Amino acid sequence: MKMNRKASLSRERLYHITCFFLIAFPLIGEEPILSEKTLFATVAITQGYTVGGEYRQSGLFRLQDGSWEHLGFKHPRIEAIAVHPKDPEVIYLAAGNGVLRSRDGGVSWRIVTDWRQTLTKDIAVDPNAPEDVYLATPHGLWISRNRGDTWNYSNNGIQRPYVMALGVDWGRKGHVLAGFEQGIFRSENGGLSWKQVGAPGIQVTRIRQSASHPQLWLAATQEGGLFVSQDGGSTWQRNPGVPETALLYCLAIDPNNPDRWATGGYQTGLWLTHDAGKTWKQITQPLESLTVKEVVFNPDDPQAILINLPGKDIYRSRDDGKSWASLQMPGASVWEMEYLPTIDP
Amino acid sequence: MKKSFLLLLGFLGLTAAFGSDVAPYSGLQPDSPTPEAPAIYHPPLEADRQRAFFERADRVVSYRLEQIDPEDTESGNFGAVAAALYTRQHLEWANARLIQLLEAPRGDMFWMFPATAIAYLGRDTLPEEGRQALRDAWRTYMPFRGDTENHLLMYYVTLYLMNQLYPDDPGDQWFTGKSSEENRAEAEEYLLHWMDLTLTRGQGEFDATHYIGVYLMPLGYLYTWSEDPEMRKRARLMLEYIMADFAVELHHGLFAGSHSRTDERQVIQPWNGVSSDFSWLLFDATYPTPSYGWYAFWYSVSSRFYPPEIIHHIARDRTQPYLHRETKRPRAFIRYTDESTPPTYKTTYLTPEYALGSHQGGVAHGIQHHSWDLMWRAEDPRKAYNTFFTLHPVADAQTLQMYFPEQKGGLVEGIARQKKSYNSPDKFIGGSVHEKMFQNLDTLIVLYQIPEDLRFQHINGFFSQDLDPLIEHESGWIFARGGNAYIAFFPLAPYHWKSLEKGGKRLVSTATNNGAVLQVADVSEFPNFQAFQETILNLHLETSTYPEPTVLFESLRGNLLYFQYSQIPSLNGIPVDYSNWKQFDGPFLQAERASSQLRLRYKNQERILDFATLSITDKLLDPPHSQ
Repeated sequence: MKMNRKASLSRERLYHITCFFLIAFPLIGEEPILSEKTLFATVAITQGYTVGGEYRQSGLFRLQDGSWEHLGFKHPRIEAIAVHPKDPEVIYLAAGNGVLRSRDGGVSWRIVTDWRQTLTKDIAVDPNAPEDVYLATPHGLWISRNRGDTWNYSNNGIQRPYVMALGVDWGRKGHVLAGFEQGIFRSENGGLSWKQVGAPGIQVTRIRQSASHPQLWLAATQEGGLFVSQDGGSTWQRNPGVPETALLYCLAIDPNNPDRWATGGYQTGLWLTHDAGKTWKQITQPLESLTVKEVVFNPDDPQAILINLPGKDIYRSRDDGKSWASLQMPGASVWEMEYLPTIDP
Repeated sequence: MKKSFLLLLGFLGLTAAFGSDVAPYSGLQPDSPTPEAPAIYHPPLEADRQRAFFERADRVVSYRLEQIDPEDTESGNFGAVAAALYTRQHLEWANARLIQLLEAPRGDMFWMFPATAIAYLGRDTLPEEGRQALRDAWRTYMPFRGDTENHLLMYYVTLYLMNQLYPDDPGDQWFTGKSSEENRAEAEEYLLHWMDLTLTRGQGEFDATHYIGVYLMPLGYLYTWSEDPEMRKRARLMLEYIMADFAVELHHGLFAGSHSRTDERQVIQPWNGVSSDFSWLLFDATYPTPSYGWYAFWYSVSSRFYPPEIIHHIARDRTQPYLHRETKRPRAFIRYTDESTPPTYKTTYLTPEYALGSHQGGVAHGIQHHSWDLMWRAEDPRKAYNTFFTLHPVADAQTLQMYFPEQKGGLVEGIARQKKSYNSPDKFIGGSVHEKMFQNLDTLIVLYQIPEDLRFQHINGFFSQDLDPLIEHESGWIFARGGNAYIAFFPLAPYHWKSLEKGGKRLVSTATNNGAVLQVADVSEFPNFQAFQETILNLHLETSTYPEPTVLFESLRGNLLYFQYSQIPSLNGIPVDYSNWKQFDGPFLQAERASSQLRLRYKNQERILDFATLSITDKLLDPPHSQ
């Protein structure tokens, strides 16, 4: 999921304005979006962990003044994070025990789901309907219309319920894309019904929307390659530059440059393009491992790209992947990294 | 209540009447021999049975108590603390040690169950400091709920009980952020859901040799400590249900047949595991493991729920052969199938000397699955490798993804870090979707059709060192004797042998279209081993492996079994109709599919567990039920 956008404009307005300028003045879309964001990471330091074992400092972290601060409970499995678009102190975590919600910037937490939602995979908030929260789980998709207080199962149009990737269109209320076991599904009515729009029969692992070009969406898959939509998720094409056999875990679109994408996965190295997927560079050196679990661009630092090599560390490069510096999270396996609005500690 | 009490008295009287001429019953000592010949069952006097049960439970507690050094607060686990609280000894030590153990809680639901028992055992004896440390931990430590049926059961039973103990606390006092009332309501909803699912579709972690403990233990907690009379009744019914399900497939105390989960040790040495601790504790049916087991300990300091007499008889009486069938379910599939819990159809045939069990094939639980085996009676099971089975070893990320939500990359290696044998081609546990079975009484056909893109394209067979003699006959049959069971095994494809570090040797067959026929018999049925072999050689057998494995076999029992890998098997020309299988179907247990009633029968006794009315009804049958 996620949101990486100015909070001052309504999402709907921003979408229409952006679409207008993209048509009229294509280059304007590449103008950096200014923001003050903090890097959050959901981390499991789980080498040797089995259920019942000791988990070290796992859970939610934020990078504060160059060092990591742990927030909330230790938890071995927090796969995704989302925040309320108007109230960044409301944080949602898609966790093993369900959805953990904080209303005070991570000081206190409540499991807002029950026994039916477990091992949750992704979570997303609709920027244009901020009370609406979408939850992906191995057993299907759930929706809350009240900030997570109550949840309803959503399966109209879905055959195989396993879902692990979500993206809510930041420009259109109730438009949601979800990555299921058998492809990309879209809802245009806030999850009341779903229709398959791409990657038939292919398991989707991550979905991302451009923060500047709302019509641009990407989907990473397990053994299906990378899929691209240029029409707001209505149609999808496989990008030939990324191998179909790849087990892709992660995906990012530079919020300041919609032509700059990155993806990675199991033993893939980091794949990077600067021309919207026409040509790709595969970065394998000098990475400590070829498996890339997470990748994110820093909206406030256009040069920076951050990756996680699971079990190794989080790294940052400012020279397009030629060199990498550790962000000092040794042993980390990162489920998700996200730049979110800064909350005063 | 009054009626039940009178019936109980009637049972006691009857038992005393036909048990009066037997020697006084005594609990089995860990180093004593099995007390009974297989063809004789001496029911214990009810009073003796009860006394012996509590003596065994005391021994389990004493073992942990003896580990305590009251001068040393740096060592001792939660079990030792609980033993001290239960016996009201070393209380000062228990308090100090508990506070230390709670400094850095770990273990998820495996922490929750000792913590809950200690909270209840220490209600009156723990000083305030210890009780407060325990209470605080439920606020500051968030245990992971886990991902299996037993994880969730332990998580919610303990959450339910702890919130009962502190019924009015607000959400900020619990790791869930929910109030006591909310936590308890959620836990209750899950527990009722699990009970209903188990009754209507069977357990997913069915008949697990190790995990039997993590069902009996939490249900024992719930039965003992729940203050809600209805929940107590449900827990009591489920306890009896799980115990009966366990008892009916015990073969001289060892857990026979197909198991959703077992482990590398117990799969080749059936005595060596948790199921034996409970088989001993509940039914005095075999030897306990040396420390009496961790879960049996928690059962002993919590409920000590004493098995009803009829379940004891079902567990112990193996004087007559019987066929038992069950319908279970696999671990819920989340991917690659339209049906999340397709039925698992189990068949177990038990005789005084051996037990053969299987299910129809496929994966029930993947990693630790055990699809079929033959087990024979051993004079001392602690020294025996009294089992025989084959399997297709699978280490495959796609199969794992059917029930794990993980990404595919590195999944096999990740599992192998936790379950050591998983990624080994030599392993003896694990399920395969490429294995199918058809069993009729003591005849089994097992077939394999292994895709050529899989990493492991062979089958393994465990041949115990206890098989004596073992003859590879020129006909292709392998003849063997295990205990008092004659075994005839016909591999469909060429094979070779590999040595094992312990227990016997491994048959390896690399044909991808493969299979075998197994026929078992009691040695008493034949004048000698030679006669058994000649009889088998005269049975009609046709096999082929292409285009798919197929067997036509006239069994020793006069039945014609036909099984083609991709087809429904047939018996005497009639296709097997699994759709009409019951939840339980055998002389001892009967339950319809999706039924809320389990009927237990033993000779003239009948006990009905009715989950709809939350009642237990005992009857005396006239004439006695035929086993």
